[in-house]
Amino acid sequence: MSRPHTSLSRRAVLVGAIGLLASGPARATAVARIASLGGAVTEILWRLGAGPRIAVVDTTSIYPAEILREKPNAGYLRALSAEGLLSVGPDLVIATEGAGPPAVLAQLREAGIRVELIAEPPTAEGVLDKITAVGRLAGLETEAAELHRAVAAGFAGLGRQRAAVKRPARALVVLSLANGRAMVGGRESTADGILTLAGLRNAADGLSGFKPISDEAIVAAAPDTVIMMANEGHAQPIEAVFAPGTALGQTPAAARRSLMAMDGLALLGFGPRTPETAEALMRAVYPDLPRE
Amino acid sequence: MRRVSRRRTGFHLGGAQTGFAIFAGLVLLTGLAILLSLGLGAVRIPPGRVLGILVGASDDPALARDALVILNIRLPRTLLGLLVGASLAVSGALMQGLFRNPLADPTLVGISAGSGLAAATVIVLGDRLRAAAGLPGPMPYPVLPVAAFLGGLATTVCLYRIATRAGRTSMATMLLAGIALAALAGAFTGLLVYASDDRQLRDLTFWSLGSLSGATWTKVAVTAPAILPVLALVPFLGRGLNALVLGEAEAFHLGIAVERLKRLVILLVAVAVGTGVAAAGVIGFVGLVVPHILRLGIGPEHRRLLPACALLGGALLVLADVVARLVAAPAELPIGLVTALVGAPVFLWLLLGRPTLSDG
Amino acid sequence: MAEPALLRARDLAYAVSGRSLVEGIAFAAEPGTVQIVVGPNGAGKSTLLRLLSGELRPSRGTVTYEGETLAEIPPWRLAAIRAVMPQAVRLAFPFTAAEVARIGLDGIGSGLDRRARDAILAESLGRADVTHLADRAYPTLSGGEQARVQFARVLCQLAAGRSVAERQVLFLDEPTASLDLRHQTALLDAAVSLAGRGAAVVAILHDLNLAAAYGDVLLVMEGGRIVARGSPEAVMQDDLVARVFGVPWRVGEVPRSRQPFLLPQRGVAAKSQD
Repeated sequence: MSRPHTSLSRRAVLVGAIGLLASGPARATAVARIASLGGAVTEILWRLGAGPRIAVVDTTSIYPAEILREKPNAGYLRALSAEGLLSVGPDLVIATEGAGPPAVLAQLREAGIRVELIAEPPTAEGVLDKITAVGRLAGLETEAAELHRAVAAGFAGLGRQRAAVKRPARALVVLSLANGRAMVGGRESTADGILTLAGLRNAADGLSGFKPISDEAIVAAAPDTVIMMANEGHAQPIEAVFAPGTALGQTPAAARRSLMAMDGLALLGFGPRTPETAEALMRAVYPDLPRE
Repeated sequence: MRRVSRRRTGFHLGGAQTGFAIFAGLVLLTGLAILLSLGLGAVRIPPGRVLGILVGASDDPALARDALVILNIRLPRTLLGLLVGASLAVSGALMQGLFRNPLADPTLVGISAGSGLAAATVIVLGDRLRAAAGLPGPMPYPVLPVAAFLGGLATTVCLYRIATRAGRTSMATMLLAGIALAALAGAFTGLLVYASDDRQLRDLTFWSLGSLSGATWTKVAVTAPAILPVLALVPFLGRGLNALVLGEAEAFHLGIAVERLKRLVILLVAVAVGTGVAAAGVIGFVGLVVPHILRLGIGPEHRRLLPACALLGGALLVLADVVARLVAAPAELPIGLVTALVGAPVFLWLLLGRPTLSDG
Repeated sequence: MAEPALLRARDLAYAVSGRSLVEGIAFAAEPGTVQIVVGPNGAGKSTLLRLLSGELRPSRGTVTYEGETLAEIPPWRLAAIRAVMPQAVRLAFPFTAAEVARIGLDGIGSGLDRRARDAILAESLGRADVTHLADRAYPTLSGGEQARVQFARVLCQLAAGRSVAERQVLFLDEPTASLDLRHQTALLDAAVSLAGRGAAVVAILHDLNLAAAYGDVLLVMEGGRIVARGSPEAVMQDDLVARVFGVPWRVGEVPRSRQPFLLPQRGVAAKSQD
């Protein structure tokens, strides 16, 4: 993994740190270096134009693809390293809630670095709040407001199209399919959230969260369409997913050959691409829906 | 009468002088490990400043961050590594002496099975249980380590009860029952894994790979009082363990209170390893490999072996942690990976190098 | 004035899972005697030894050392009074022969100074003729060599215990099983000389001729009971041999064919190596 940029001079970082300590939490000027932990946070920062100021990301920050290649990687979101994060000299850490371990976050705060956690409810309001919060923290309120407007408009359009859906189709979001064992998104999961936005019924609403599902339950769920993850363009071929004899192969989705592969972060990350993603889902399942 | 020379042939290197040299070498190695652990890391801090901070000579606020890294991150981490490494290696030697088998390791008393199950329960079911009990908010941080410790201890007590009949503990029964209990715990853990979602599965996997990350002074303060007394007591067990090598009946004939020795060793191992697992997750290979390496150098005499294990175990774990911190900076490798990646080849090399072990 | 017997067993019995292994044993051992227990396989010889040494707790009856029952004597003090040489000991770890022998010195011998301990060790290794093996790893030794190292260990234990207990008992469980002729007699000669210095020796032997050569008293066991006790001449009678051991050989009779025979002779010292 290449790291083309070198760290800023010690003095700049220290001055920044002292400035932080001296002035307290309320700051309006742009922050020099940001540790961006969490795919949605990274995506928002990049959309706001703060890409160059991102000092380090985590393994879930997969969009845009170059970011993970170019920036230092602090590891898995929930298994961070305090010293590792300190070594890139961030002035601010913006992380999705669930970052950890908590001791590491505490150590960062002890070092005088501001650590802010962003809540992630899988709803349209959640996305908009995220944009506002990240924008405020990064000192890019104007750009954030701009993005907020665009995304809100997207959600509004989505809502109107959803109203036109007469009979909601049943969809199954499959997180992973290995050895014939499917992990699907049930109630109260991000999968459920995106399906709601797309005007689809969650076929797996008997489960809660992301859980493995039995073959019989798949057949009972009878989804009209199956949505899978396709990260970096790799997706399972339709013949493999709907192979005859598999549970998925006996669903209405298989009969209609309705399989969609989408980027995982776009689908479940609840970031700025959410309205487009939901719309793409909607279009694919309800091709006759009038366009906006 | 010819004077009995202390020179060794066959399996180990020569002489009392060599034994002393090896001990001195171990002390030096430990010192080196401490220095490296304090001086190296993702944050570049020049050695002079490291020393200055340690000595307390540096109050410069501009260096506050470096001081924090040294004093609040690297120092507790180093100490925790020394404690956990020492307890793992010593426990390995104790278990090998108790089972009279060089393949025994600290987990044979059921600790990793029990603590793994407890950890899985907390990770997978914790939030649901809290909701059912009406407790608000996220899981408090100490719940997982405490549960892991109690789980390990409970399994050990269970195993001990199963293996002890009429005051006599059968190590053979303990071994077999341990396998059965581990399978049972593994099955329940598997159920929890099956019921877990992606995030919980990740958490559990990382826990079972072990890590010294998040080592705070609080953790050190809680771990030290459990491990240090065990390390201090252990040399007194050396004589009994030597005699036990000859067999339980022979040890009794030599005047050792065998059942009491077994009970004590099992208890000490349960406490030491349980605490280590609670603090740092499951770290493998240290308990198995360190006593072996040392037996090659200083022989199997337990009164020498046990303190040496404490030194080498601590030093090696700290060095493994340095590697874990540097190799993927700014990310960190789980330390259990490093010990396995290095420990397994070393173990194989040792096995290839020595004459074939006799069966039984 | 009758001093309590060094070792006495009264009405000793041991049963496990309803099966009686040893029954109705009365036994006494005094310093200076060599008692040898013989009998076919399964007669209970080893069980008797384990009961007398304190390893097993009898189902019935008592074992006393100088008047004290086993329950009253803590293990560390018992270790000064009696030593047991086991049949075969395999070690999982590469202790040297000298280290194994030295284990006999730990505990009881910790009161002695370093020079005394070294002296005891050297002498014991010499008597067991394993001085030249001192630095060899025990697991690499042959069965016979290992047996001699165990004997050295037992000698160390007794020597160390003498500082605490004047009268001692030495138990030997088939000590000659893997030894060659020279070392068989050397070991038994050493046991006899220990008896001469005040110990009581109780040994299990398979070889009746060795038993006849070395035993002051022979105890014949069969089916868990002592069926004959006395001097070798008194005990080794044709009908007893036939009944207990199941072989029709006649005592004292030279075989009719030209088959040669070689009988052990006690006290005729073998030339030692060192």
